[in-house]
Amino acid sequence: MSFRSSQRAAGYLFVLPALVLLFFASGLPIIGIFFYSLTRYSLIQPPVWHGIKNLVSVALDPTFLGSLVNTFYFAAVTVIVGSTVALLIALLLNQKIAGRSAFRTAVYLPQAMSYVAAALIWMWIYDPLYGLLNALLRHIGIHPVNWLTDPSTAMPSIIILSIWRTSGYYMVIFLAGLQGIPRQMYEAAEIDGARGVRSFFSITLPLLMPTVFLVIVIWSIGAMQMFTQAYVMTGGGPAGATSTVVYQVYLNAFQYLKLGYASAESVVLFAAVLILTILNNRIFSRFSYTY
Amino acid sequence: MKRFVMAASVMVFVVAGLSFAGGTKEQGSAAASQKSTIQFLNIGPTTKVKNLFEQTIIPDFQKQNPTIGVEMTTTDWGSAFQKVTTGIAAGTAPDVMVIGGIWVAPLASKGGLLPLGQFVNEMPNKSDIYSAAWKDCEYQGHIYAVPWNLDVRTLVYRKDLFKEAGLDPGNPPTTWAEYLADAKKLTKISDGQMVRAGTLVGLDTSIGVQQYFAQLFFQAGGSYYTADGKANFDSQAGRDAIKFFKKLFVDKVTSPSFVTPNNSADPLTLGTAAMEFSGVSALQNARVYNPKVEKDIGFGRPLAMNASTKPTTVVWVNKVAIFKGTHNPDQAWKFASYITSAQRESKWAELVGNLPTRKSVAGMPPWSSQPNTQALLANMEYATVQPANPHMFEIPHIIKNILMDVVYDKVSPDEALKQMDQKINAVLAQ
Repeated sequence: MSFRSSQRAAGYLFVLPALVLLFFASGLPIIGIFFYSLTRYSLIQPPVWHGIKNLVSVALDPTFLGSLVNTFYFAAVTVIVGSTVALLIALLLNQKIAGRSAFRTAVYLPQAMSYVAAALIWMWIYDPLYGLLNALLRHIGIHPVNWLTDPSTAMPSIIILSIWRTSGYYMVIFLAGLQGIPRQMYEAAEIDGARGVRSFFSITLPLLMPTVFLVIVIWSIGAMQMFTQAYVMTGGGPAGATSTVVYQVYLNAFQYLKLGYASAESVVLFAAVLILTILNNRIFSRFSYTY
Repeated sequence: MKRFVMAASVMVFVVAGLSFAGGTKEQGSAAASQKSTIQFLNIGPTTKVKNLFEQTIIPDFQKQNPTIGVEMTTTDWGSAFQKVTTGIAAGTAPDVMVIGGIWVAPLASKGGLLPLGQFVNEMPNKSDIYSAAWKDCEYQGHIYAVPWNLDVRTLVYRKDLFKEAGLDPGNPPTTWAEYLADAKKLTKISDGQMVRAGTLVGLDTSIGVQQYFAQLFFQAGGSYYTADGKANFDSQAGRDAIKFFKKLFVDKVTSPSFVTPNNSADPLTLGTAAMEFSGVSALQNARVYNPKVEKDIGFGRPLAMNASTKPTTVVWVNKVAIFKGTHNPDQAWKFASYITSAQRESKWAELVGNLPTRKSVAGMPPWSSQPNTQALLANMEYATVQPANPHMFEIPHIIKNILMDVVYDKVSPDEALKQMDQKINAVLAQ
């Protein structure tokens, strides 16, 4: 065996435990989901071949389709508004201001909290009678809002919590991206008379595009799997307004013991996330710049 | 080459280590299986209940049955069903397990529970257990569990708020018309916002609203299924129940913004609602979150649709069941019957917090001196259970979702009943 091939073999051997782990922890369940989506399976009894009937039922199920719409709505608003907020905060906290580190920590802090704890706290903030938010509204003469119990405000309320909870994490990624842009670019632009907004749109944003792409892809994938907030705060209600695909998967798999059906829902979610990621890739590859 | 050899040695070491660990575990479990040890899953015990079982009940059982060992594990109610089902699927479910209100049919229909008919027939004082509680242990004519504790739902109200509204707290409503009239007097509006609901309708993040509707439906004389097993909500009873349900919102004696949160003070405790259909949990909630109102919690009789119809309510029964795949069915039954016996139930029932399943225990202290408990248990004569069905976890969600559409005017009450039948029949056909 040559030195080169023994090096390669050693490399493979070193990654083998991780690969085996990855295969059992992720690969096998993914293959399993595709298989079970073609079966009728109650967990307790063995799976029975069901063909594509589950997928057809899922495609025609108004509850699932409503949840899919809710999921896209949640993901689109959370990612677009959240990325903008995270980027704006990152831009602010990239300036040389007093107490910068403290501000960065404060913005990142909600990320350190579990989603369940955050959801419970926000349930109190949103409480129609005793909540902080309605107390503020009453103080300025605005009629209180039934934040989580009105179908038109329930999802926006969850979106606000989700952006609050997650934007600090993406702010850190944006900060890293901003600090990676060479100073000379700004100096050259300044000589040419470009400052402020012009400098942001002509230098910062184009050079930050790979980071923006990364944030949008990661955040979209995460947002498409929204579950905890709906489970804790609304139970998918009111009237299905916050029911998401993953929430439906949970109900079908672990409450109704319809694992074949839940697997078919997961396959559709997998396809939706895949298409979204490909679309993101196509769109952002047009705007990528190298330096 | 040297590096390759080193890497290979590390791999061999890791693999050998893993195999050794696996081998040890297998040998351990083989040794353990030789002992006649019963695994017992106790769901949602408080620390006091857990200690009582670990320090008194299980050691006492083992003294009487030296050949049977008992290992108790505990879990919370939230994840219990998943743990039980995955355990059954893997063949590793506990021999004896506590199961929840509507679990019998979903688990028994899939072959997860041992039929207990032959054991139960030999039980002394079988009739000491409330008959409605036994009914909830049945599926297709077979008994699969023994009642463990229960909660019977009824009209629960705040006596102080009744007085404040000029109502007689000793004379709570008994019919739908009285209930609605009292709810109107109890409702409080301030600056256009409802600050106190006359009544709650069970809105929560789970299926509370379906449980509320079920009581109205039974009070109207409804039954979930026709004789040929089809959904039967689009019936006169269904129409009566859903119209009354909707009227509570139209007449503004309740509001969809009054949701009962999990693990928190419920609106009755807070005084933001004056009535609800609940049980002993209303008392526990007040005790934990606002003890000074505990004395103001009153329990009425379950409602009747009108003065000429029968009051009806629903009882929720937790039970003890045996895993069908147990290797020790006789020992498992010995333990199940031991912990559900009157002598043992009298020790742990109060600590669990629910009501006892045996009439004899209900007549013992401390129950005998608790007027609220006696008032609640008196309602067992009106109690029924939700019919056993393998899809009983899905059907309440269907009903709940459609009821919420009625609340938000997405569908009319008549259309809602048609949708219930259609969707439930589709599930039953699977």
